[in-house]
Amino acid sequence: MTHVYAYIKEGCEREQIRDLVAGIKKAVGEGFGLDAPASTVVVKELAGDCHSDNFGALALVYTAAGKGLDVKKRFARLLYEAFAPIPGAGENLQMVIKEQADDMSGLNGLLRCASRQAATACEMG
Amino acid sequence: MTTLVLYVADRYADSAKKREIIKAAKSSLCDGLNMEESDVLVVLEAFCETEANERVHHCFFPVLYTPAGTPYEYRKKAGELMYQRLCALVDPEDIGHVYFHMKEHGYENEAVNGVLLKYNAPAVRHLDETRGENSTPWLV
Amino acid sequence: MAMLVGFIPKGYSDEQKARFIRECEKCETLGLKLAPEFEHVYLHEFDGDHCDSVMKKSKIMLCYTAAGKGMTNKGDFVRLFKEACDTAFGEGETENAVVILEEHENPLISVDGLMRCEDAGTIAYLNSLNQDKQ
Repeated sequence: MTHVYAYIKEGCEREQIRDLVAGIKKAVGEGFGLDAPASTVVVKELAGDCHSDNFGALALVYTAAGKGLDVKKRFARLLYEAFAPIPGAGENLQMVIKEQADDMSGLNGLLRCASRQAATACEMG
Repeated sequence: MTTLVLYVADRYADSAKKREIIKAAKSSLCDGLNMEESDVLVVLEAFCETEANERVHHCFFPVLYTPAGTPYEYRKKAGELMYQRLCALVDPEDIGHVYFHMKEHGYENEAVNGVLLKYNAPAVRHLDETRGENSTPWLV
Repeated sequence: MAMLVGFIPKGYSDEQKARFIRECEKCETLGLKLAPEFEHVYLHEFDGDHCDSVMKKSKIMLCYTAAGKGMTNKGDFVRLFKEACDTAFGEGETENAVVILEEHENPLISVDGLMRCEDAGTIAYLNSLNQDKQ
């Protein structure tokens, strides 16, 4: 599975945040070729005293290792498009991808490397 | 761009203190990692009573996300400064520990405004100018 | 030592969350075989507008820890996290009990200003925990 933890400045309308969640979900689906059940998205709003002045938005992306360069390049672009409507995010969106090998992630009680079912479920490439 | 996510208990950090903590963390990274202010981003995760076990209320937990290649001596200096400057802001009876975890990633795993660092030649040049070769003195 | 950061959907009682935190502490001691003084658990909650529908049925545990835990301990940790979710929130409540292990080598950890790789005592202690070598 792939998991995205997004930080944005507080003050957005609920509708904008729902759209952001949907946009990130779409970026993950298109960029990494994943079905909807294979990813999660969460968004945290930061108060003004909880970030440095140069903060725009931040996305931490946890995903299975082995994504190719072209895939990451495209995904970065898609993710940026998802964040673009969020105030401040368009000028300074930071994205970090953290890849996990099969012995570094688990699902429902089993390490990915110990579960062929978990390893093949919805992940491609 | 180097990013720090810093967990701290809001029981000991009102708004003014939070700003001081951000400033101290940022300066620790700038001075330790030899980076410019504009290259360092700090995010504070201020958690409340029900969002953690008791032990973590008494520590700072900074997590650094930075492109691979920072020299060991820079990381060591950043760790020392982070400890000194954060602890100077609080009563040691309240917060007495700094557990500083540093995560490195390849240039293909970071993007600013949709462009991977790997394809951002000026940014890579900038990083190379501020960092030297990795060094591992503890192996000598 | 490990720092656990949990992500759960909003809507659970304070008692359930407190129970979950206690169960996650056990993941560190019984799973990673760390002493209780190394139990560190944080919790993030997300309401319906701030997460997708899959997250609403999931619990995620992000574990920041020094490298070298070994397959046995990691396997135990992952199994115990699933049990933690079931114990705290009820069996069947969690469709996805996800664990993400973020390991880093000792030259990338500083504890109270001292680089872990320069702390021989702690390294020896952590190496002794690796069940794969026993």
